[in-house]
Amino acid sequence: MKSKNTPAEKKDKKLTSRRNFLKKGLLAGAGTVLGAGVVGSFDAFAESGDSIKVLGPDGKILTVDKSHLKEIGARPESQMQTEGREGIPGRKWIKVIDLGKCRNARMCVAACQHAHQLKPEQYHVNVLRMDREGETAPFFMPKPCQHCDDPPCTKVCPVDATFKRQDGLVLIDNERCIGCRFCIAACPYSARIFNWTDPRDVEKYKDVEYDVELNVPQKKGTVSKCLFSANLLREERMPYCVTACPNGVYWFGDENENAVTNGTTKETVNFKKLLKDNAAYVLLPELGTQPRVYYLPEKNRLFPYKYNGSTELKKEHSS
Amino acid sequence: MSEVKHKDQKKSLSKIVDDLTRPIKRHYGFTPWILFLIAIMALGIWAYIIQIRDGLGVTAMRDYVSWGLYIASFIFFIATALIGMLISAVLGLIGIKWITPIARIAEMIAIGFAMWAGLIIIFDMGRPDRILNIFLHGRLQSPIVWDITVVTTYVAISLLLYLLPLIPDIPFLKKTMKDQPKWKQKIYEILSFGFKGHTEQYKLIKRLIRIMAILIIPVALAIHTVTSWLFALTLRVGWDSTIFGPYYVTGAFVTGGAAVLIAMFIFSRDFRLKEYITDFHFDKMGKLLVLLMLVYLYFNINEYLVPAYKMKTLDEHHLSGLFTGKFAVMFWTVQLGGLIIPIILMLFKKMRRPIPSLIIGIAVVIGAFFKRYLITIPTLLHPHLPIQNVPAEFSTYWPTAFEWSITMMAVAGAVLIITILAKLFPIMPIWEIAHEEGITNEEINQFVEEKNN
Amino acid sequence: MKHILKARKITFIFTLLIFSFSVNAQWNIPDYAKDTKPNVKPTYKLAELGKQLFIKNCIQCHGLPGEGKNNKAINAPDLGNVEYQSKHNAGQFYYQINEGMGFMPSFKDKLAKEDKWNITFYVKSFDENFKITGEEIKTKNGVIDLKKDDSAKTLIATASIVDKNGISKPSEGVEINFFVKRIFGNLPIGETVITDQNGTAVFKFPDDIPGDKNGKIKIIAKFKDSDAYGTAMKSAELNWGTHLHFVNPVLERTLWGPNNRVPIWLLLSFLIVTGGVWLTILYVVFQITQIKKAGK
Repeated sequence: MKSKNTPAEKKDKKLTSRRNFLKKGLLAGAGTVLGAGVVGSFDAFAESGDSIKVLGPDGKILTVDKSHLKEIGARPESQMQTEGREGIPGRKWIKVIDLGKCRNARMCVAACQHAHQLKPEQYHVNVLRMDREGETAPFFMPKPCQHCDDPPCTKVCPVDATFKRQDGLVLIDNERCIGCRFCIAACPYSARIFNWTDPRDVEKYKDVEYDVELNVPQKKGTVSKCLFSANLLREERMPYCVTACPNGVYWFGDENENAVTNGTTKETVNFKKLLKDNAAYVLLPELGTQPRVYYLPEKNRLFPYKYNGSTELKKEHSS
Repeated sequence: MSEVKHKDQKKSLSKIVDDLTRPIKRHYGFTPWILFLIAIMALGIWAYIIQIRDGLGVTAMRDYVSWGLYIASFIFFIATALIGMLISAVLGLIGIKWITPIARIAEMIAIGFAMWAGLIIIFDMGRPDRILNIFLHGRLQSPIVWDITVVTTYVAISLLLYLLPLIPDIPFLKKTMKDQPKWKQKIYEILSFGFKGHTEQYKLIKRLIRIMAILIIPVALAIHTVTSWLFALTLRVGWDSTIFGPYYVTGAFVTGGAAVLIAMFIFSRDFRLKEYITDFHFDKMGKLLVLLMLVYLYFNINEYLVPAYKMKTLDEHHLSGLFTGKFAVMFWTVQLGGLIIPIILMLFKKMRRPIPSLIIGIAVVIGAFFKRYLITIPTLLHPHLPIQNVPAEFSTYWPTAFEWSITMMAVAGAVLIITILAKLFPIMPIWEIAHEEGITNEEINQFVEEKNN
Repeated sequence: MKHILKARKITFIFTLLIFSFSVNAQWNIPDYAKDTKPNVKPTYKLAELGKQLFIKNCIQCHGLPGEGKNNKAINAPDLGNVEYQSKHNAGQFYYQINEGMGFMPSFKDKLAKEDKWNITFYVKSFDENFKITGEEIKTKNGVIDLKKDDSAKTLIATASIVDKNGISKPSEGVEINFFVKRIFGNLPIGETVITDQNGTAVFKFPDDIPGDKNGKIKIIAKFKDSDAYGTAMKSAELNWGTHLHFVNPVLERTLWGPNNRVPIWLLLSFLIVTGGVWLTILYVVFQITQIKKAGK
């Protein structure tokens, strides 16, 4: 897997790199920080001049006014929590998954697990091999959290640790979760996972500030779930899984704007028209959960269904 | 109606008091028994410390089977605790007399198991350190909050229903326990609440018992209905059922009834109270158990036959797992050995005698335990969407040694509470038995005064 | 530690499988492919058409030739690569589009023959040895100007071309597309309009485009992607969008909402039932303390 830093890892570096920053001419440190879009309070080098050079996310060296950096400033954890619980006003996030394009490349899974500090067997988004009744053809189906409008999971949470925000996202606050796992039992889409033991790289993430919109660092004994990369949405970027897809499977957008953008081709189309033209559907509509994820049927496939077992964790469930 | 038949001869008050306080004074097997229970609990505590340290990963639970033995035990404990209500409240209120020597035993079982049911939930939590969040951020919409409320209420009412009929017994204890340690006498002094045997005091206590006995009925129904709702309020195959409330309640009565049979046997033999808990009582309790089991069987038929007739896809997966699949052995053993065969056997009078009752009771209780297991786990193995791309251990479940140790700690803990109560207070209400023997309040007061002088 | 090892192991297996997959499945291009010829001569114009098709069908994995944005994980080559170009002539490339292999889908039935050849021309145009005829299309500087008519909700776009000498003149027959800015991209709206002899075109703004709560919207006018005119664009803020009536669902009293939004019926039932039971319990507890009194 690529060793590109996840936002959390970058944030982590922020702490250790401040010293290097002063010593080594402060390029790399601030660059990682900027890349994460979370800039620390740069009081440590207040006397370093009016403008400083930093390494931008795309590798270019940028000259940035120091005061500007301060302005962006890292949101303190309490603010991340409050904002994270409120959501982004005026938005209604929506995802459309085109099953005709999925060929189980699992780039979405890898990007997601990388960003959210997940182990290989922990999924916020999982690509399932679906085989319906009779002679219907099998197909691949990416399954993220459906971010239901009538979420059975937040209904049962005893402590408001999992909650729905005004922009439609269902998040989990792992600093409040008591680990009762009622939400896992309640979710008909099996979209939730639990940190049964220490999460991946627990040492590395030890001092990272908790961001409820990224749910990192993960904590032992708490539930985790897909959150449509709410931290990226705040920066008007599309979720990790959406942009990682090489095949144009994912469309993502704002229902209020009636537009969705393809994560691969970056093409933007009319959301309702896309659903109408392709006879879109939602998963398990009979349960009344009102998902915010739509599926386009697996017709006009770009790739034949071919499962070569390359993504199988050995000895998988057979029945 | 039948309360007189079994009495051959009247017992004197001094004999009753002597018989019932004797086990409190000296009881030779007591210390090893307590040590045995504490040893089991020590093992459980060790297991729990490891679980806290390493996380719930030490259990066999994983992302799909996310509830396991702990939750199954929780339902089992709540179920066992429910019998207190049936015996002391329902039967007491309608004036059934043969429950007099059993009522307090049932109440002790209720207290022990209800308290530990609350603890098991904590063992199941991933972050027990955050238990206060339930009070800080509690959501009234969550069935867990309802459950905590109702379990607490039930424990409180059960304690009162244990305490109230105990108060008139305290004078006997105060008089006969002069040789006992100071702390014990202190407890008796506090719990007497100034009870002196006045008619007004008897009247007041009887009134309070009556209030509590009425109140416990809806609360007890609520405790188990809400527990069933933890499951029935989800969208899962096998749990998504409208009869889960009554199904659980009747199942609970079966479990508790069998537990009472076992306790009756142990107490009547170990405390040498055969004269008080007679074959007649076993016979009656056996008949009651048959009735309860028949009702439970009826709910079982509804719960399994109705979906089995329709065989919706997921129901089919779930039920075939139970009927013929990997849970079949356990399922049929539980249904036959824990329900159907006990029903048939207990229809015969001979099988309602003490020793057969004990054996059947044990079979029913074990069956009831695994029935809870069968309600909890197979459903979780049949989610709406397939279990894929995960290690094999995610799609099976059998509890680890840690889970068994912690569960056994809970069982030992509940038994320990029952044991301690039985060592502090008489296991039967002396005054009620005296009343039934035709001894008047005046005679009782006289007896207490006499001894005092 | 154990998990890290496990993760490494899985990554290893994963890479190994992908590796073996790509190694085992070698392109097996038959010799005759080399001699496959198109019916038409390659021209820049056709290559330009091919570019549009390339963007639609191939860019996901290969990236634009020469930019190095190809998907290395599935071994999709950068088609501008000199080595690649030297190893594959037009016929062989055409064969690859047609047949597909492994991760590369087959376009045999998905694209017309001419389209496939146009893509081939476009890709081969990155090979300096490849002969391509016609006038090379040079980018000129196009300029769009926008005027709005609020009453009729129409936009009047004027297109002009600035030539080498810096002289601007209205351009006839320019196709202009309109977009609205959406959070992750620009959404095409309405029909393409074509400028008249004065270089102007009238665009009727659709009624159903959602704006913010004041109906504010950002609109972008662009020359239809064409090298003849460059990619001139002009944006404007309008308040012609439909007004957004945003209702925060979390403020409603629901079963899934936070505790301070608990439905009234539930709150009342809970308080009445729990309160009633506990008042009774407290009453009984109080009465127990009265036992002593009753004895006097």
